Amino acid sequence: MFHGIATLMGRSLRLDARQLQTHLFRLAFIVIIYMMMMIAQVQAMMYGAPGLQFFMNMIFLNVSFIAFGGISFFSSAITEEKEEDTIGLLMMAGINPLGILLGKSTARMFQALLLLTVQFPFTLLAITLGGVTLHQVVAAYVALLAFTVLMSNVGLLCSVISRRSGTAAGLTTLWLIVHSIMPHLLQAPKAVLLASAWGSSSIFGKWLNSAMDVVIQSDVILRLYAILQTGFDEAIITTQVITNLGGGLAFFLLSWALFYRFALTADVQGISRGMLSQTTRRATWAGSGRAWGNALVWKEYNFLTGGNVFLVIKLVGFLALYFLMYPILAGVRIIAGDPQPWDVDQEVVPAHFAIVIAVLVIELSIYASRLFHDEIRLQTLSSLLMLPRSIAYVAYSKLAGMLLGALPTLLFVIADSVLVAPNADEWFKVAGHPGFWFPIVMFSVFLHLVVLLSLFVKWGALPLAFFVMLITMYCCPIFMILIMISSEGGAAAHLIVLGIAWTLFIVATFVFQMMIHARLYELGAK
Amino acid sequence: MSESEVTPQMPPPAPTMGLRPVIDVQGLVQSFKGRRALDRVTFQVAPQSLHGFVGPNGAGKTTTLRIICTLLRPQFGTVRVFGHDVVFDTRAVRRKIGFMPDHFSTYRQMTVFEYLDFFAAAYGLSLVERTRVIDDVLSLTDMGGRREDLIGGLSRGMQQRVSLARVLVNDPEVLLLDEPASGLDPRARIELMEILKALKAMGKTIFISSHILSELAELCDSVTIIDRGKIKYSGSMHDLLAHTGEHPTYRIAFGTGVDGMQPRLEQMPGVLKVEPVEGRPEYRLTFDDAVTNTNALLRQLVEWDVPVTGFTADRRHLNEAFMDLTERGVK
Repeated sequence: MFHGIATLMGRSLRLDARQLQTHLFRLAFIVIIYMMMMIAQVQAMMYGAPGLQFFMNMIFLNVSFIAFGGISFFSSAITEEKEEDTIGLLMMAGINPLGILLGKSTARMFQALLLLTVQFPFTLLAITLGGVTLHQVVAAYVALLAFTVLMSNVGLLCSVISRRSGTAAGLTTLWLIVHSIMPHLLQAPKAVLLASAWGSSSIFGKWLNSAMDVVIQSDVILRLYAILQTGFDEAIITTQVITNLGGGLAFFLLSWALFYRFALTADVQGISRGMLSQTTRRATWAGSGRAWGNALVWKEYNFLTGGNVFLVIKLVGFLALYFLMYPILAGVRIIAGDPQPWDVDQEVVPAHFAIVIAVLVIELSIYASRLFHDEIRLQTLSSLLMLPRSIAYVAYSKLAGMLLGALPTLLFVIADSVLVAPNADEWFKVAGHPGFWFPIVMFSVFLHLVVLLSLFVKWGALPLAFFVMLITMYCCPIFMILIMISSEGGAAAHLIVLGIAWTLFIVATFVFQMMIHARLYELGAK
Repeated sequence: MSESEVTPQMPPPAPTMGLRPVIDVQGLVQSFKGRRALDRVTFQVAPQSLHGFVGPNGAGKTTTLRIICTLLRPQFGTVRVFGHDVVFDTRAVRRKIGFMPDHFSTYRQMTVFEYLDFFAAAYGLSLVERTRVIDDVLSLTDMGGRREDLIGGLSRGMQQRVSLARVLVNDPEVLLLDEPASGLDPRARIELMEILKALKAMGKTIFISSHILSELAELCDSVTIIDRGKIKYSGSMHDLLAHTGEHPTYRIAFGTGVDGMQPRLEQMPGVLKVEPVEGRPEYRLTFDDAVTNTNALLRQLVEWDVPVTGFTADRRHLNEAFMDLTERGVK
């Protein structure tokens, strides 16, 4: 078994060593650290002890990196073997499931840990800059190492149970979201539990309370914030470290237990049409029907966004959400101890608006990541580009199909906007403010980036784009600077800032679209 | 890269029998990362012919096909399809051709009908035309009974037929098929070849790249052999297979149990060389140019009372021609 593990690990390390993108990624990481050092240097001129800020930036860069690694790097450990149809070959070579899991995941975890370890000397610089103690540095890195072990094994489990890397990345993202928001969601019920007699006295109540504590304390972000507090003097090994390491081990064992069930019987080429009816002989509202004049719009609408079925589901769902908002908001008020919990009329539409916006962001991001990626995966791009149409026509038609699928969400965004701000004056006021346009501009650039990256990477374009945007916004906070400028000035400053933002947006969009065009041509010719 | 870097080459003239070629490739040069993939590739394809395109792996077949079907721009040289330049008149070329790549280019989650309807609509066919065309192509490819099946659930052979049906929905005049029989079982391969014969009978020009030489020899009127980016032969299949060497050659086969014929055959007048065919009572006889009538040989064999089971002018197999012309053949 050890021979097999060593072989797999060796192969994995060799492959990564040969790949240019691995080294570019590491280089980018180092460049970011150097930029942080430069920022710290500037901060040192303005106020003392910039070490804490420098250290905090580095630590949260690492958290983003580990989260991104979990979504992309770790979650493809087994799925890439499934996609290459090589799991059976590995088994035939005498490597058992445990060997495959260790060989595939250990090499990746080793590389992630290596990246954390090599930056450790840099972080000691934070101590020299002032504001941080060695104890804080060690505690933060132990917390990060434990989080890395957890994320790598969550990614591994998702990779074992998923058929494709994209699905595994999606599952890992979902887990990460739940894991991140759970400690915050539990704060309110915990407070209620503690306040009640049953929660504070009964055995089950106490046990429930302890369980909630463990979940809350397992959160790496909360732990890091605690470590970064001035005067931190807690133990290095805490609940977060133990639960993260224990969770990592549990996820690994679960991956091992489920390996035969999922990894060996997985059908990578499985076909899914969602809820789209398969009958084309008779037109049904749930079916795709006959292709439209613009067949590409028809295809994307039906096979990317789910067609009429999902359109109706979204319409009904968003309508129902208005009514559901009442008990949800009232529940929050009850927890907060509000004496008039049902007096939530004024809050329903804004809350609905926030949810619809979130859905729209998620929906468009997912569509953008799949817009061309599915064509590459199914090897259909050359057939599309052979149509007597331009690449631009093909791309924009696909985009139109995607937007048609997102129409219900867009309609509710507009409806909620009108309900929130019914006066035209308010609309003009909002539309003239840079703060309104910046998120739209940034999201549009993000979508372009997702599409572009999906043409280069096999999986994980969405988290990669998110990571790239996050780092770019940190290293080059152009919009933050523009918002600061506009907030200092009046209407003229708003207009100038808006002009700059729109110019940057148009240039960025143009460059992205040209790059997408060039890459599509290149892929079609391959 | 300059034009002067191009290696001079003299490909044989292509057989278009005086007709305007459907595909006219002239001096095509293509390099990838400094490696010459195509080196002054020149050949022509005659109308309504079935033209084979043969070469070892990495010879430049797919690159040539991708240039002809407008997916890749040529670095040097010109390619015309029905007189339309593939660079300057891309859309006109695309309307004339149907390209089937060497992999299944299908939407697995669509039904056969949806898939064909999608491409027919994408080519701008009206609803009525689409219904008719889809029925026709499904009938031609014998997939009529599978129109409601999901493509992902079909066998490889059937998926290949669906791909071929897709290529036919816009009624192209030229079909460019890249390894269409690759990975198919013998039955599916034979069925595919039958469909190609039917398409040729319908007046389509078919340009087919394949490794299965025996089937190409049977199907194709003309062939182009390419090796390491250079054209080794481009002409009629008949000429290629008939060309055996400097002297007339025949094959003679005897009934079972006939042994030791080689010395006796070597003694016969006009026979220059006798080569036994391994594992069979069969010999390859090379005659002097002066011998134009082989009846004397047959008379002698009758006198010897040797059971002759076959006597034919020797024609090379395409495999032999391919091995002779390509540099990677075993010498």
